[in-house]
Amino acid sequence: MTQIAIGNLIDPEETAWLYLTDGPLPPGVLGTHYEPVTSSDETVTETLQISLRGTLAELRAVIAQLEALCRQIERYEVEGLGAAIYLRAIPTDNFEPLYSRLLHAELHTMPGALALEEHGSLMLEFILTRQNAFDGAERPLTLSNSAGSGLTVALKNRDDSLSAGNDNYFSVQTNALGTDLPAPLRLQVTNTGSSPLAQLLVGAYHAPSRPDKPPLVLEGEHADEGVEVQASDASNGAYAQFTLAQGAWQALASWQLDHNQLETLDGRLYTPILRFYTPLPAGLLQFRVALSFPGLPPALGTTLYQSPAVSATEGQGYLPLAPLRLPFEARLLNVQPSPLRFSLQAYAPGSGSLTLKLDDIFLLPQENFTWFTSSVGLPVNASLIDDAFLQKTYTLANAKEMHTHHRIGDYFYLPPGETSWFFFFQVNSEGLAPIDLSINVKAWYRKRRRIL
Amino acid sequence: MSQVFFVFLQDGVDGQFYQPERAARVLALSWSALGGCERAELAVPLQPGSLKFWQGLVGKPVQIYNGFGSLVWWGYVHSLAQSTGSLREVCSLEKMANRVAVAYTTLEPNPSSYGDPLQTAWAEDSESIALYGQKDLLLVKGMMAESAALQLRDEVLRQRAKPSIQLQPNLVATSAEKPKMTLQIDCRGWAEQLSWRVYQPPAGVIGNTAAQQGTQAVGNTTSASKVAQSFVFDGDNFAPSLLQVRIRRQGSPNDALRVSIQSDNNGIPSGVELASAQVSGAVLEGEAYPWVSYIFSPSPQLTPGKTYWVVFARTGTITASAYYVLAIDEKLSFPAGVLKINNGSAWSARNPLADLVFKLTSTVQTSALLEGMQAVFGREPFSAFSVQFESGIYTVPLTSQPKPVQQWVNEILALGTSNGEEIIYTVTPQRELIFRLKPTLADSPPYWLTDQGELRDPGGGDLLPGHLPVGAWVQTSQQGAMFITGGEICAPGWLPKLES
Repeated sequence: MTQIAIGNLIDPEETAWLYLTDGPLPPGVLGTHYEPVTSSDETVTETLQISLRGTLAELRAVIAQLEALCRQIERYEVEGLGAAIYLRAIPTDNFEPLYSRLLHAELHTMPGALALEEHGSLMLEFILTRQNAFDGAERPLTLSNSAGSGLTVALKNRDDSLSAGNDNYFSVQTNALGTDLPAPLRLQVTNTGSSPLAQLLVGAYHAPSRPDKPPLVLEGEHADEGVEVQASDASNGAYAQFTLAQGAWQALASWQLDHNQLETLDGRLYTPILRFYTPLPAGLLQFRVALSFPGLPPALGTTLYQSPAVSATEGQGYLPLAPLRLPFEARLLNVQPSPLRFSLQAYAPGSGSLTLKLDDIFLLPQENFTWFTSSVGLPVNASLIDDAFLQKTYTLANAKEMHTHHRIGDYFYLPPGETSWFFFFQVNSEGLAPIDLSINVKAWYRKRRRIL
Repeated sequence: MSQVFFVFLQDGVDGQFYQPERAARVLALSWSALGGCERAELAVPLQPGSLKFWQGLVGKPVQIYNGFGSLVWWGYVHSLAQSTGSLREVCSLEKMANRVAVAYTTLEPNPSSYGDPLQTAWAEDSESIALYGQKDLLLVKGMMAESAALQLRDEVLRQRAKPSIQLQPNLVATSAEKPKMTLQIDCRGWAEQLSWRVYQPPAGVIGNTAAQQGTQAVGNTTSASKVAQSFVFDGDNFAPSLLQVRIRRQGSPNDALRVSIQSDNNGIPSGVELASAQVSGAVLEGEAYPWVSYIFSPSPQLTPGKTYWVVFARTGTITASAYYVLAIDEKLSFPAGVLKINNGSAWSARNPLADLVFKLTSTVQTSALLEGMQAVFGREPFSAFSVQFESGIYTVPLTSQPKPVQQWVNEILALGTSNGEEIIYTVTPQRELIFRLKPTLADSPPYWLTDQGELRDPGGGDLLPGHLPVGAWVQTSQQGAMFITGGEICAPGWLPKLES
């Protein structure tokens, strides 16, 4: 018989859990009838029928405990105070505890309850609304990139092949997770650099079957229109210098994406993030992406797709553009996609010209995406923790909890499949994205199931 | 459930954006091709306390991102409202005004000023301006004494300098519909603040229209071979295109009377012609002194504060029996210039002294007029004005009193361009105000409306939350393409409602 209990994950004492079926039942609790509800909704509402028998004092004590749980749930879910309350189920197949967060609960009695209570027995209905999933215990994940595999992976703010470990990503094998549903992930990002980490953009690419890492970096020096400049502090050891004629939109730089690259990009959504070697100048400056067929010149008017314009911020060294699909429409046929020319277009008003130094464009996957943003930044050696199970993001600095970052986007999950890649783009508190920013990452997951 | 939109407010102290403690929920967002982000309705659940605790949010910048990290809406908090039982408390910038003046007609029994239109000096509340930004109010009143106008100005400023909490009956609430304790936040796009300032372009006309007293012949003798009137213009954007003078012919001159605008050289015309025009003697009247127009094309751009001359000379030879006569003003009603005569070799002041009777009108290209409006904003709230076209339409920006910038913009947009193109505008997240031509269908790939009523991006994909094709073209399979002028999405379905 599945053991059912209600409690929180903060209190370390097992006795803090209110047992309702097997186990050390509190005095007065005879047992509980629990019939899980199955649904495709995000939440389910169920009824626990709790049978009580005992002295009046014992019955009152159980009622008081259940009412206290109702208040704690309300307090956390509505006011954000206290700790989350969970329904814990321990199935008899593997005795691994499973948790489902309670979102609302009410205590009801059956008709004739007053008369029954006088005779020492009572049937209560504990009507609860919970998230429609059960999550298992937390397990560490083995993370891999070109530097090797382990429970901790060191990441830089670059992805080139100049040396092993020049990676801004890690991958996880997801074929043996043993999860029915996408598993909630806990990421721990530790700032191992020498300055606070202000912005962190994280995007995941989940591959159900494809083992290849998608090609996500467009190096500035690989664009035909630029002048290559060698620089050891640039991605791939070089950046490119482009001249922007002011007064009209201009196709500034372009790259050809062949069918192999596009096949790996798989029609998914990506945010192009421009990284500039020198900060952006003052004045109105806008960028957008256009896609065209390679045979046509990368000029205006020959585009198949054009993203909305995004304005740059003075003094900033990076700029996320509007997300776009690559290739830009879902593939219908099982044939190779046609090559595309990816053009970066720019506009600055006035007359004359501007010189822009573009290091690279990183195509951050948007399948699962979060942008952590902060004005103070993540202090050196502090850790930013993003927990999809708790639905919380917080910072640990010197073993003390604090909040440094706001988040935009969903929490991270690991769907069962083949491989998942997680890519990171770091920005310091000066609004620059130098390639030598560094972080360490650890990750944990919890198996998730809907049916007990 | 995944959160669709993420709301950030900007702290006025360090300029950083932050997420409010209790995340604000987006109820509706709208955009317009004229102004970009238009309106956002937000709700913060179960905020305890009265509205006055949240009053500090009014005027704060707001940014809204979708879950893909794209900034989709930006503007500022326009008003807050909270329903408490049968009352609704509202704190709004709608009626706030922190810089006030009164336009009135003078009552003083002074013969020289009775009935004159006047305007008080502007009075302002600097604390309110620092908190919320400058919001002008020009009260246009009828006849009143100066003291009354000043009293009215100061009283209105005192009452309206800051957004106060107004109580309204909450008629929607019944006992069965107990209102939820939500804080409702109404946000507006930055373009709305175009109506916060008033603008009066530099006067487009200068001249002397006093009654004629005296005449001055031109071209009848060598001692009057040329006649010139000097003037100075103190505004900016002065590009005179029309000169009107009162002239008649004497006899039947068979040449033309030519006029040129010349720069100054130590108190006389320099001889350097910046623009010129001429009128044939045959078309002039032989009696009276009707107004005659000279049109300068192109118009010369004159430097404010510098002296220039209009110089008259006949195109033919000096003839005593057929020449030209200008109406002049010997009462000297035009203190900003002098009339001089050229005797064939040198310039000297007319004796007796006089001024020309004339009107010099400046026209300005409407696109330049838009650019000129940046002056009233400085850097707040718009960091820059960018006008990305030449309208080719010239106008005389003459107005008796300042008008809201929004009204000027609407009037200029209604004119379009000389090529028949329409103008749209938007405000970027960096608060750059950009005026540009409405794009044509050929400018960029259009969005798509499928036969099933689904809206697709130019690549055929689903629209991301908050990415509406406002200010862009949508192609349909059967009915051609339409330009989208407005769009709105509302919770919980976020189905776009578009206007074309």
